[in-house]
Amino acid sequence: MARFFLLVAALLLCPAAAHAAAPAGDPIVVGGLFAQSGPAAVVGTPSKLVAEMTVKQINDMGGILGRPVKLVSYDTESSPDVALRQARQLVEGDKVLAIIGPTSTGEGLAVKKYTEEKHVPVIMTVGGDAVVAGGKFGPYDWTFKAPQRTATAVAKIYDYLKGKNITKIAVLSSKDAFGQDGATELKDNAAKYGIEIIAEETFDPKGTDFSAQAFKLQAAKPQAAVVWTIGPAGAIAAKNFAALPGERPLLVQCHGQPGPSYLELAGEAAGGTVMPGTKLMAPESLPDEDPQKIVIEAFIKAYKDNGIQEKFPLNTHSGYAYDALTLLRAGLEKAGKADPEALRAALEKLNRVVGVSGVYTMSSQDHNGLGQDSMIMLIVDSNRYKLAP
Amino acid sequence: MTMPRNLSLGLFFAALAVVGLVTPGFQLLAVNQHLFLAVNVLALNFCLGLGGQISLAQAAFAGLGAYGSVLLHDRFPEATLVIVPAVVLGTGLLAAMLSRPMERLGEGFLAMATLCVSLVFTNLVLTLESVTGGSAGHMANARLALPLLGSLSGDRATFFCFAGLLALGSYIFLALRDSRLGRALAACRGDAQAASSLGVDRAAVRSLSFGLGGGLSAAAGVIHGHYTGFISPEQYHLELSLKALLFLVIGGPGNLLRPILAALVLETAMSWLSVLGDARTLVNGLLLGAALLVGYWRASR
Amino acid sequence: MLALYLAQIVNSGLALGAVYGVMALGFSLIFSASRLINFAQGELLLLGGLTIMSLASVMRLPPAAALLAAAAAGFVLGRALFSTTLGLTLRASPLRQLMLTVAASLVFQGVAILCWGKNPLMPPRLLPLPDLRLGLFFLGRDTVTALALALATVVVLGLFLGRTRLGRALRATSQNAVAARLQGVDTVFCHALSFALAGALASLAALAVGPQTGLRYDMGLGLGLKGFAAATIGGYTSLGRVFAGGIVLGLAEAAMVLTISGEFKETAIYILVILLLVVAPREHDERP
Repeated sequence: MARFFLLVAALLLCPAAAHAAAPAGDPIVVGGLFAQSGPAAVVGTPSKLVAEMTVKQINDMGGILGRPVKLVSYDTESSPDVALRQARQLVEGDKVLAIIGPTSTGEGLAVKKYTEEKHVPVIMTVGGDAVVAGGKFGPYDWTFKAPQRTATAVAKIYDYLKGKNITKIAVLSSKDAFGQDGATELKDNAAKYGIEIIAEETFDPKGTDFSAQAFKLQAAKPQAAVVWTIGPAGAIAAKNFAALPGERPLLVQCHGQPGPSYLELAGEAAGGTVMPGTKLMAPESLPDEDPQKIVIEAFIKAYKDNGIQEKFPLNTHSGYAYDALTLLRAGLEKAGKADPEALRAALEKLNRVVGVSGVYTMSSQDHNGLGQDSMIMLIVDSNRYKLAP
Repeated sequence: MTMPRNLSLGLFFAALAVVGLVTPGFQLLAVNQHLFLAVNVLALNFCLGLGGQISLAQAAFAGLGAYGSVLLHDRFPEATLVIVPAVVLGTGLLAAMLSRPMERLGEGFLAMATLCVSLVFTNLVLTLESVTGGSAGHMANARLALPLLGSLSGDRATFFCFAGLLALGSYIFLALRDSRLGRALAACRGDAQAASSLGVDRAAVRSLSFGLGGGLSAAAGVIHGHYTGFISPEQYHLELSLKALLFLVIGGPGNLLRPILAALVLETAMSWLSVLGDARTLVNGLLLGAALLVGYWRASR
Repeated sequence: MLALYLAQIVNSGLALGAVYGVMALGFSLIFSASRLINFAQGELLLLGGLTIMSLASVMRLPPAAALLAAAAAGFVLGRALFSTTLGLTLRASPLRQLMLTVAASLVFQGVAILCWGKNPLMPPRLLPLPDLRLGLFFLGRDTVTALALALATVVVLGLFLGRTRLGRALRATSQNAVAARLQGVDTVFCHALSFALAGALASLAALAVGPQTGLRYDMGLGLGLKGFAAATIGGYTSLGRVFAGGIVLGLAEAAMVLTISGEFKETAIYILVILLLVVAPREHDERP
């Protein structure tokens, strides 16, 4: 009984400790789309947990515009069809103001087509650039994206390679939307950086061995090999490259790999590989004046305190849902009212919003808002991620 | 015997029409997606239920329909009246041609060969990136448009397209089953060698049922692709074939209504299971397993 | 340079083929006894591997104990698969039995998600086989393990099927179940045994495949598809030929990547399998 009263007292004290006015009035309803089953569930499930954690934080600190936030989220099953179905449920059934998510690029494109017609602001957590690329993928007036663009990661890699006087590279990409996106961007931007792609191969991301592709690329004698895939396939490729005899190229992974899984699955073969990642992956390397430092440290602490770390050890994707909600809050506060058109206009004008993945500055052309400075080059050294020299 | 069957069929389509008229638009989307699967189940019923041939190629045929129609509409947006019949007939013919050399394969091997057809389709879409958009998919901006009816878009119109397709497919299915050809197919299903020795041209009659199934799947794919507004290889992947086969087996191949009902009811039930979170996959499996066992025990009693 | 390429075809071909081969062996064990394609074979490997991984985290497993534990765990899993699928529906149509294994694969995945989560997990290497480098030839230790396991399986199972009474009963069941039953063979027991053996094989294979690719809930179908193709090339019946089918498939893939390009590899492989089925001997034909 005594314990019960302590608990009640603690609960009563909590909001007071946060010293903010309790939110009041009708909640602002935000939709969440996360792949909690199917192949993208490894990214989607922790995204949902982070989104719930962030919404709780926002409400504890007084909500948005003095109103509490309510998150309604559904499982997209990693399928474009289901994602579209759930998006319509959110918009037409639950009457949400805005949506965050979904998880995979295919889901994103299926949802986007509908939300653009319906004028619903969506802040996506997908890896692919197609959702905010325009052109054949249609307009993106109402669509925003929290994770870095593929093009940004490519620029980061090319800058690093140029600094190392590396001009000849080989590209190994997976045959899925993520790998295809990477290969296209790598090819389109190579000339601009004076880099030549001398060999190119693809692989099935569900495969078990890519040593034939690795050998063929090595035979072209590139100075570096860039591998573009998400999930365990990246670690298999690293092992295959490491097993080749002779002079090996510098192995570069993409920004989809940083995380404990890569280290665990690739083992010794991970040593010496470089990759672009968010600052989340090397918080201790950040200087004190970096505006992200305090945000990242608080995020990591909350991530551990909420027990998400145990189930999904922190990786480079962990912060996307947090960033999407941070952008939403900043947008709503700038707009001053919970209205879709005002929110859209405000999101486009966001300036220096500090998130976990970077500092966002949007424009009507740029619906991602992250530049190269949001990424750091990491190197794997004795089974840890460090800042690449 | 025929009265109750027609009655239940009539009741089913009447109930379906009521669902289509009263359900609000965004919930009709789910019904439409389940109907897309149901048409594929019916399509598979032509091969398996009538001809006794398993096929895991249904996803490829639906995908051919979707990709063919969407890509052609990009070039000729006004030509629905030409494109759709061409795509459906073309896919049907392709299916019929594919089935001829595979006709004599035993069950497991036919499953393997048709499974490969699905995988070949997916991999071709992935590889021919410049045409299909590869794994990133392709936005389907054009709409189906008919001269007098105008553009066929929106939930309700799509619903009646799918329902009409299901009705048409059911009609052909029943007509074929009760025809001379249908009896020839039944003979092939019962005892292939006896059928041949009775003078049935097995390859010919079975390729007809295969072709009809392929064409029906393609028609479903056409509607689905334009309706969703986005096509990608993952929507017409092997999983669709497996699902169609699963529901057909649960309902019993050769039955008309039961497999369709199994698809509609179980798919709806499984889409509600998302409330279970991580336990969802497990419960999905248990539900499907139970449905299979119940059907078996009921039949064997 | 040519020699280097040829050697690499062998190296990569064996690395791929060893995995396809062990998967194919599992398929053919069940297929030859029960005329059933087991869609849950990849999931047997997954759950077997995860079980051993958890066991290894609480106690030290020397190689012999690891082999034994894997075989035992897999045996139980395979037997459980039998009692929940074929064992319940012995007189059902083969299709219903086939679809039950599809449902079982979902159930197994669901168990993997609930008990081990959705993150890919890396099991420890429990069999201390070394990397093998002979001149131009190189086999990673996981490939060496898979090859050794597969060869041992082919030999041991070959002896078991050819030389023992129980093995002969199993073969009799696969050739003609009715006649076998008339001769006093307990065919249900033989079906169950084939499932249990396939389970044990899958679990053992997990000791080699797990450290190579990691274990994740959705890995089963990907492994299974190439395993099907390999078993089909090998013809399902003779264990040696089925395993050789896996190796041939691996070599063909590696050769295709190295000589032409990986772009059309999958397409070409699956077309090849269709052609093989259609053109190959009449043993694939519908049974009267």
